[in-house]
Order: sequence, then structure tokens, then C-alpha cells
Amino acid sequence: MSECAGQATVFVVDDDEAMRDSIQLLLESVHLSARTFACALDFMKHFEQKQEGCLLLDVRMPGMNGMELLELLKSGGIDLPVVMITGHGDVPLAVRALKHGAFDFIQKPFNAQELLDRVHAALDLDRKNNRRNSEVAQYRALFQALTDREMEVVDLVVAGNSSKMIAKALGISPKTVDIHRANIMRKLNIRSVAEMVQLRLTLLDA
Amino acid sequence: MSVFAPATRGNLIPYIPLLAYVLFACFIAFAGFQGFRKVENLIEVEKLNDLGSIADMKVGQIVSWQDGHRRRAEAFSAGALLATEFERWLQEGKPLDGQEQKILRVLAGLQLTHGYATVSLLDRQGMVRISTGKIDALDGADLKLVLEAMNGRHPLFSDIRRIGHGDRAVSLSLAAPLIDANLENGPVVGAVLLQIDPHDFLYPLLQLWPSESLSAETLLTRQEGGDVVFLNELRHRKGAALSLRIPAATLNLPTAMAIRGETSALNGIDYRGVPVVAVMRRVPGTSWFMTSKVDRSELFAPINQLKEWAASLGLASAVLGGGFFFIWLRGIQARQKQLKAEHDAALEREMRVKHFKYLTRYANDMIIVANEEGQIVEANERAEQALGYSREELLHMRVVDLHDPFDRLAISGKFEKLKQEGAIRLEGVYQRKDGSAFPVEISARVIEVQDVKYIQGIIRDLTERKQLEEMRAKMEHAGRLTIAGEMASGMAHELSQPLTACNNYLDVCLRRMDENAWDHEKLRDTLKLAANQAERAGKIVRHLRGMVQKQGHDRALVDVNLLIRDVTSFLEDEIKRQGISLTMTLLPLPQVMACRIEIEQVLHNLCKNAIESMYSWPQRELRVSTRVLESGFVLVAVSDTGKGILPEEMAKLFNPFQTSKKDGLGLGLVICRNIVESHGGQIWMDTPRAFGAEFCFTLPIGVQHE
Repeated sequence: MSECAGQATVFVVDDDEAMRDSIQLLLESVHLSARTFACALDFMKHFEQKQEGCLLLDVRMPGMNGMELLELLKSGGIDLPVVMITGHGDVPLAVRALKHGAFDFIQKPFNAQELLDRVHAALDLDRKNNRRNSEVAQYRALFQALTDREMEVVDLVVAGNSSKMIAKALGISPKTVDIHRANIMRKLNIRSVAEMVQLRLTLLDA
Repeated sequence: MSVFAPATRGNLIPYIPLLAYVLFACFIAFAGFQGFRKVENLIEVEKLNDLGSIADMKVGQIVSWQDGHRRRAEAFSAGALLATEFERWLQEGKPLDGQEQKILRVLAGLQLTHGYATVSLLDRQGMVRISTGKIDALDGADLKLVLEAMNGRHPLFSDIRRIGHGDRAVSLSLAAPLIDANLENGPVVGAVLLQIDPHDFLYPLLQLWPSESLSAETLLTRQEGGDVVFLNELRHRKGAALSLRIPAATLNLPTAMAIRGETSALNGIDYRGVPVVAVMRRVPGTSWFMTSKVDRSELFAPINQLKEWAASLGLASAVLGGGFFFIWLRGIQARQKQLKAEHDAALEREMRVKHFKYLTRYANDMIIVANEEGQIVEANERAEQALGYSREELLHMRVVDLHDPFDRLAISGKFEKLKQEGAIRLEGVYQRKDGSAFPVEISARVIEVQDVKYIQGIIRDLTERKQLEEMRAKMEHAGRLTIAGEMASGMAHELSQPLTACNNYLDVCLRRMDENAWDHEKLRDTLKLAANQAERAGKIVRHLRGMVQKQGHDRALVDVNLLIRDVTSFLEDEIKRQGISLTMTLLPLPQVMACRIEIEQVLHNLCKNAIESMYSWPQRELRVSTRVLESGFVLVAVSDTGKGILPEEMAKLFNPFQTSKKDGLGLGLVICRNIVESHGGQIWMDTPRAFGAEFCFTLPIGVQHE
């Protein structure tokens, strides 16, 4: 943990001590920060929602196994990318893990480079996620400045209606609709309807 | 009861004609008897008439014969002949010359003419003066007769009397007084005595019969005291005249009946004791009775012959009729018996046919009946359905046609074998009408119906069974592979950990060396870690044998007998399928500390080996037994009657990858030994026997191992 690169941390959960230790050394050798846990419960105790990074998770473990921890994380809304470590030939288990939201899986015994490639990919994803999350928060703040009537107009515009149709639908004059649209553009700091649609959809996706 | 009632009535029916026949025969016999009686009566009446007229005639003849003699005697008395000369002779005291000769000549002429035995002249005192016979003096009877005649001045007949011994010594005398005709009521001068031999006229008269007859005769009798005396010579008995006497009281004797005044006797019994028909007459002027009689047997001879003929004819026809009737009755009975037997047999046959039809119709198997040539003569619905042929088509086929063309070669010769042995069981392949083939099991046997031999085949479609068997075999194989697979994957997992860790450490070292970031000591430590992991992997490989027990099954106190029951019930299907008889001798056991699953695996392996060793082996017995050893162990023995184990295989029995099975892994007994030894027990194969094999293993009692 001495050689931390940025804020990202690679979490490792494996019951085998040698595996934990060797993976930690390996990650540190490429200047990644790593934290290891012997079991799922240990990880749950120390993990905080805001922490960035990724999780290397062994499927076979005594007590709570890897699959169960994965499901717990996903149902808790934690979008930390998870790389599953599976035994050789456990393809069905790996597929199940992917369906439950794991980012990737790697089969033991593995090449060190393979593990590192997957860890990097996971960290990239985590960074992207974090960036998007901050954008969404920004957009949400912008939209919060809009009045209720202006939100109605935004949704009708995104649905592809013209000003006349919107006026008819809302029972107001087209001129009033145009005023609402001008206000919306200004408040959201955008210049085109296309941008408005993009913003709105991004928020809806999140 | 109702069942037997018709039979009883049926038995009586044939006797009704018999009864009718007997009644008819009785009627005929009675009518015949009556007819004969009538005819007999007619004959009797007619014969009585005949006898009567004969008797009357003879009586008439006797009377006229007597009359003739009496007239001649009266002529003497009237002196017409000799009285004068004889009187003179008497008066003179002596005969004149030539007078004696003259008288004698007259007397001789008289004797000759009228057939007298002797003619004698007697004086008033009854002294014989002259006689044609050599008579000097009269006997008492004649003298008395003569004196009576002289006193009565009328001729007198004496009765027939015996005058000496011998057949012909009978005589009849007629005495006539000689009366002097010159004077009215002239004195009696003397008398003439005429002795008559009955043989001369009377007896022949009596014996004479107007028609030819074998038994007819005429009898002359008189009563003498209490007896009937027969006067004439009898036809049927010599020397009877005047000597035969029969008591007059004899009931049916016709001559006796005559004395009692009867004139005819239909059922008389004559002096011989023979039944006769007789007619009796009194001879007038005498004490005689005339009896004309004839034997009944002669009288009824013609009719008796007819009777005999009729009787024998009747008897013959009765016997013949009876015989025919008996035969007819026997025939009817036999026929009835046969009909009943046939009826019963038909009923039974019908029942059987019904039963057979029911069985065959609802049978789940094909049933085909063929004749000795293999030509199909009967097939059930199931066969039609399974083969796709209609019944008519099947009846034009031979059993061999049902087989798949490739199968026909395989079954050639089986048909002959079947006919020799009477029954056969084989598996084959049948071909449907559409050409598709399916496996079958055929149970065929020779059956005999009314001396004709048929082949009955029960054919089971094995498609489903084969599929099941194949599936089961696949599953068992898969199960075995799964065990091996799980072991392998367990091993791989165990190995992958140290290998991966080792790889990681080495990679770290390489990277750090590239960067020149780490000093010598830090690199050495990390390499040491890598070496540790490599050593760990080596240990895993070295202790591969111990892998099984390291899978971590929990041990607990278990009852081995219970485990044996679990395992055998799990294998029950296969045991049944293979026709194996299972014998379990499980003695009460203390509990042992063991892993239930592992011990079950050992039992399963041993039982499965035993079962498989008995495939295609005639004797199939699986024995499982348990007992307690004094050394503190529980002993389990699993034995079979299969092909056994060759001595050269014995030594390698527990070596890995040794197998006698086609697709075995050769790990079964290895795993068993690992498990048993890990429990502190031993496993071994018992000394080989003539056939089969026995595997034993021991487990320590109640000892917590490890």
C-alpha cells in the first residue's frame, strides 16, 4: 500500500494465503495499491461505498463464497468492477457470475500478465463509471433549477413534439412554449435541442 | 341336484322300450297259450267223441258176441242138437255104439266152428261125460256155474277167470242146461260147458283199434272187492290179465272212475301213471267195464310239437330281441356317454378358447402359433400392432419371415433345436412390415393339440428394455466418470493454488529485477516464497493417494449393517434384473466410527464387482455377511459365484489401473483399500475357491480414527 497510484485500490478476497500474498506483491510491482482479505466477511467490514478500484474475488471459499458476495454487492448498488477467480473448467460458474454483473473472470492457474490486464481493464471501467457518475450529478443539479412546467416541456421535446403540438397538449399558446424553451436552454447552459435530449437521456439512464 | 336330474331321466328312457317289449312278449305268450288251450279243448272234445264211439262200438261187439254164444247155448238148452242122443246115453247108462263118436264129432265141429277152447257134456251131477278137451272133471268154478245153469234152466256165462299159470291161462266159460225138448217143462238132462279162450276173439276185439295209434287201447275191467281187476291183456304190460289189481279208490284212474259211474276222464292217469284221455262204458249183462283210452301225449303230439316250435320260436325271438335290445341299449348308453364326454370336452375347449382369447387379446406380448413347418396359424392383436401386418398377412407367413434378414442366419437351426428340446428362449431381431427392425425376446415351446404339434411363441418387444438398459449403462458409466472427474477437478483445484501463487511470486521477482528496484535480499525472500509454493504443489502430488480422504467427509458412529441394507436396496434393481439371488447374513454389530459415504462407496464397489463377475455366468448368488471379530473388529464379507479371479491376477488385485472390465478405470479396489486403511481396517481377497470370489474388509469397533 506504500506505492499508491492515485486513489484506486485493488481489493483481493481469497482464502489461500499464498495466493493473497503473491497477488499483492504482483500488484505492487506494477504500482497498484492492493488490500487483501481472507474471507468475504472481512472485506464487507472494511469496504466503504465511495472507494474506487476493483475487486479480485475467488469463487471457492469456506463460509460465504465468491458468488454470494458478488450477488450481495450488486444488490447493494455497489458498481465496483469484480473479476472472478475460478478453478479450471468452472465455465458454467463463470458464466453465472457474468450474468450477475461480474466484470470478467480468470481461471486458475493463470499467467501474471493475464491477471494484470484484467485488473487494468477493471480499473479503467471504474474510472469511467466514476466520471459519468459525477457528470450525472452535475446534470441533475442543472435540471433541478427547472420549474415543473419547464420539466413537462423538456419531456415533450425529448419525445419529438413540435412547439405547436406541445402548446396543444399543455393547453397553452405556442408563444408561451417558445418562452419556456428559451428559459430551459439558458438554465441548462445548452444551445441545441440535441444537447437537451442527450442530457435528459443520460439522467434517465443513471 | 339339478345337474344330475336330466341324466337320471336320460338313463330311464332306454328302459321304456324294454318294458314295452316285455309286455308285448307276455301278451303274445298269453294269447298263444290261450289259443293252444282252445285247440287242446277242441282236440279233447273230438277225441272224447272218437273214444266214445269206439268204446260204444266195442261194447256193442262184446254184447253181440255174448248174445251169439248165449243163443247157441240156448239152442243147446232147447235140445235142438244133442239133447236127445245125450239123454238116451244117460238113460242107457252107457253110450251106444258109434253114438259117442257121433257126439264127439258134433262137439268137435261145434268147437271148430265157434272157436271154443273145449266143449264138454256133463250129466245132471255135473260129471264130465264127454269132452273135446282132456277134461276129466270140472274145477269148482265151472262146476258151480254148471249146477247154477241147470238149476236155473238158463245158460250162464262165467266171468273171465284164471285157470292156471301162463299168459294164456285165462278162460271164460258158458254153461247151458240140456233140457228135454220133448216135454213141456221137460227135465234138465245135463249140461254143456263151453270154455272160451278170450285170446281167441275177445282180446283181439279189445286190442283192435280202428285207426293207427301208438298208445290207444281198450281195457276191460271189473270190480273185485276194493280193487279194480284188469281182465284183458294190456298193450303196455305183459301178463296183466287178471293179475293186475289197482285200488278202486284211486282218484284219477279212469277204470276206477268207471266204477264210480263216470263215463269220461279228460285228465286221467292210467295204470302206468301216464296222463290219458279216456271214455268208460259199462258192458251190459256183465260186471265188466269197458275203458277206451289214449295218451294225452299222443293226443296232443301234433299240437305239442307245434307248441314246442312256437315256444322255441318265441324263445329264440325273445333271446334274439333281447340281445338286439341289449346291444341297442349298450349302443345308446355308449353313445350317450360319448355325447356327454364330447359335450364336456367341447365345453372345456370353449372355456379354454375363451380364456386363451382373453389372454392373447389383452396380452402385452406378441403371441404367435405356428405349425411344425413353421407356418403361422394364429397371431394375436398385439402381434398385428407390433409388426404392422394384418392377421391375414401373418397367416401366410412363416415364423422365420418375421426376423430381420441379418438375424435369419443367427436363428437358423434354432427351430430344429426347439423341436428337439420342446422349449427355447432366445433373443432376436424382428422386422416390421415397413422394414424397420426391433429387438425381441422369444420364448417358444412345442404344444400338442389333439396329437398335432404346434409351436407357440411369446415374443416381447425389447426396444424399451434395451433402451433402458443402455441408458442405465450410460448413467453408470457417467457416474463412474463423474467420480473420477470430481477427483481430478479436486486435484486440479488443489494444485492450481500453489502453482498460481508460485507463478505470481516469480513474476514479481522478474519485474523487480527488470526495474532494478529491489535489493538482493528482497528478491531472495520472494523467490523463497515461490519455492515454498512449488514445494507445496509437490507435496500435493506426492500425497495424491491420500487425496480421497482429504476431501473432508465427516466421521460418525455408524451401523455397518444399516449401510449394507442401504447399498443393497440401491442395487436391488440390478440384482433383480440379473436374476441374482441375494443372501444376507447380518449378525448384530457394535457401531464403528466411520465416514458413512466412504464405507458405502466400498460396499457399493465390492457388490458391483460381484454382480458384474456373474454376468453371463449360470449360477448367480450374491452373499453379504457380517460378524464381530474377537480382535475388536467388524468383519464384512461379500462373496459371489461368478467367474472368480485368476491366480496371476491375485497379486495385482489392489494395484491402480488394473482391471478386467472392458471400460473400467481400475481404481475401484484402490479406492476401497485407501478408504478401509484410512479407517484403520484391512481389506483382502479370500483364498480362491472353485468358483466365485470373496472380498473381506474389517473396521475397528468404536475407535475414533485420526
